[in-house]
Amino acid sequence: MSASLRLSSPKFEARWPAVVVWFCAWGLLWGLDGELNLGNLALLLVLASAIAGVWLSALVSVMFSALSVLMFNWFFVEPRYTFNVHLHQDLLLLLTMMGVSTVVSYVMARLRVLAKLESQHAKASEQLRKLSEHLRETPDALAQGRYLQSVLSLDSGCNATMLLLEDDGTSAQWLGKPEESDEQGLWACVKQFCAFGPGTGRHENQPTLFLPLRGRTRALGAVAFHCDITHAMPAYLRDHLQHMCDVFGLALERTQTLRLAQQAKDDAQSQNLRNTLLTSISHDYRTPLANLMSAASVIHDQASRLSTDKITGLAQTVIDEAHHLNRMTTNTLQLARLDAAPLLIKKDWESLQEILGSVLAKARQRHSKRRMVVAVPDGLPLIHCDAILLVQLFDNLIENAIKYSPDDTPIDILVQANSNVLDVRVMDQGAGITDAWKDKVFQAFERVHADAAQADATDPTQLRRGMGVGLAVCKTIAKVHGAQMWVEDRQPHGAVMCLQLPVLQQPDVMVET
Amino acid sequence: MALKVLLVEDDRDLRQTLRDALIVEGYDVVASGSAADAGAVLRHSMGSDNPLDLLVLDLGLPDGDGGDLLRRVRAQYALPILIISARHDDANKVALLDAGADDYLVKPFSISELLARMRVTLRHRGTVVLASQTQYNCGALDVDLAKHTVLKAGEAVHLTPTEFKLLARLVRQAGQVVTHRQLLVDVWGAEHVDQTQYLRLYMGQLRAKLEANPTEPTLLLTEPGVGYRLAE
Repeated sequence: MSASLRLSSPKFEARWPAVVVWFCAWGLLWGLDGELNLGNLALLLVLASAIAGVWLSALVSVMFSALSVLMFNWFFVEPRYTFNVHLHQDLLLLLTMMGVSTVVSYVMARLRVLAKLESQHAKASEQLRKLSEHLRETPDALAQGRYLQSVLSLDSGCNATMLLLEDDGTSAQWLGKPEESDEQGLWACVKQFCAFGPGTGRHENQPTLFLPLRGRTRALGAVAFHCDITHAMPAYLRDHLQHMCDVFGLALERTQTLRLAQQAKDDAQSQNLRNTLLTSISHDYRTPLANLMSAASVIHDQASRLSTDKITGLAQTVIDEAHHLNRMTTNTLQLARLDAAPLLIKKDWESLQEILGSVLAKARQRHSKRRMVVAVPDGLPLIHCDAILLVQLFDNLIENAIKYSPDDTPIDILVQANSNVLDVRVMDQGAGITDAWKDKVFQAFERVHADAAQADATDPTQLRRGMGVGLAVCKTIAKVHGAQMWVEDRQPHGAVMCLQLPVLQQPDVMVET
Repeated sequence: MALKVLLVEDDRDLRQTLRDALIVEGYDVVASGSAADAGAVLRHSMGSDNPLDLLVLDLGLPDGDGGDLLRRVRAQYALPILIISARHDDANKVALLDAGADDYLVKPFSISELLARMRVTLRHRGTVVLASQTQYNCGALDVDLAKHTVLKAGEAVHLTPTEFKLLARLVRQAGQVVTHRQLLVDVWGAEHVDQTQYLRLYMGQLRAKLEANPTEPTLLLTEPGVGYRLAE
């Protein structure tokens, strides 16, 4: 964008039509001399002067008109070839010509200025639009800043350096290397939330122009324009530069607000998680730890007086409770991990049959006397999942089913392939889960008695002890696989844990015949 | 002479417990608490008259993840390696198995599991330099790789060439885990290393032909996230 915008004359290249007009007019004057009377010839001159004014500045127009009047006087006015003027006649002609051509050229100059302003406005809005677009597409504030810096440098013709305020409001990132004096100026500009330097009304006599990156209520940074021509910078350009700075400032403020909101949300979530972990340790870990401690201390203190069978039994308690603690720890940690980074899981093509098979093998080892009836059809589609997570999910479901139903009843595991989904059902014949609890069982540490001390071991609801984190982690695992999980009732009594896994487009396999 | 085992475990209590248990089982145990110390023991004993027979290596040592130690051992000695890993070390564990560790155990484990794994690993000792296992018998299944025969309860079972290659690969390391990567590279070729779907499909077919109940296999066992193991 050029620097100056006075009522300026057009460029030289644009003046030649005026010269042509004058030549034509004089040609006509010579040709029509004798045909028309002097008054009409003079009108021809006025016409030419008016038309030529379109292409000429006011001054040149007036000069041309004056010259024409003199020549007209010399060549056409009697007595010819003298400057003897009948003042009272020709002076009026001269004044008319000058007046008309001055007005015409002034009006044209105004028009040109307006057109130029118009095009500059259009250019400026286009640039602002591009800037906003770029800010939207580039998420990184530094990259945004660098882009704006290059645009500002280019437009102002100055060396632009930028200060970007960090979230804490006291430290900053620098784009470009500021002069020492500029550094102070930039900080002052940010803190006082206003522009400094030539043309701003503040610190007019210093050479550098400082513009703040304005948000709604405060500056999020500032730009220093360091060069020799800041004093000559026109107001419209300064305004334009400030506009661009403001667009960036608002964008910075918006992202900062979003970031702070997200941070607050994360904080709340991690607070939630911390509470979950604390509840887990305080409620669910104490019982197995107490059992472990008593069994181990009996072995330690009374081994010499105990039978070998008794010691083996106690050792078995230690092993069982250690397994129980291991399971709870794995569940709690998995819950924390999936909560923190649900997208970091490693999925691969897996066979549901294999996964269930390996879970069942372990479950049968642990509960060798329990009956488990399994129905898995052949030729199931592959599922895209993290095998270790699904193992954990099924392991929890089966363990819960075993724990919360009588020992002499079987656990049924049923898999069905339906259109685009695989349905897995783990069914027990226990007390079942009441409607009020069908959703709550999936929330970590929800329990019928919020106060654990209130519930005693004979209360059937207390049987739900420790169920919270197991099912919560199941639900979370289901969620990261895009699967649904819910509870149904079983007739005449019992609970059905339902998992519905999505089946994706199967991968290509070349099968040999 | 007793078999000599180097046990590398940084937790002092666990190291002591395992050491005692292994000594009770008749092993000659050298215990070490760090990768550097284990390296020194290896250098010293592998050249002596009484070299080590087995390395039991815990991941997550204070001075390294055990990976460097494993690669050094693999480059220099034909010493079988059994990895002990914590649950969160899953990825590392698979990488080390791919890099040549013989088998793994996830903490917490029982001593009987450790002894069983050690027995299998020791039995395969030398497969790196000597001929690997070519015959397999477990339950109703008889496999003879040299004769190219597979019998189920005395009846010949027809396997496709790929199914046979897959079974043969597992037979050669019967009782030990074979990772997905090892199976894919050895049976299908290095260019198929990411195509686990092949493994799932052919393993399903093998189970359908060889297992009584393919859902709950007793021979072709799944190690989720790691690979497969042929039972013994």
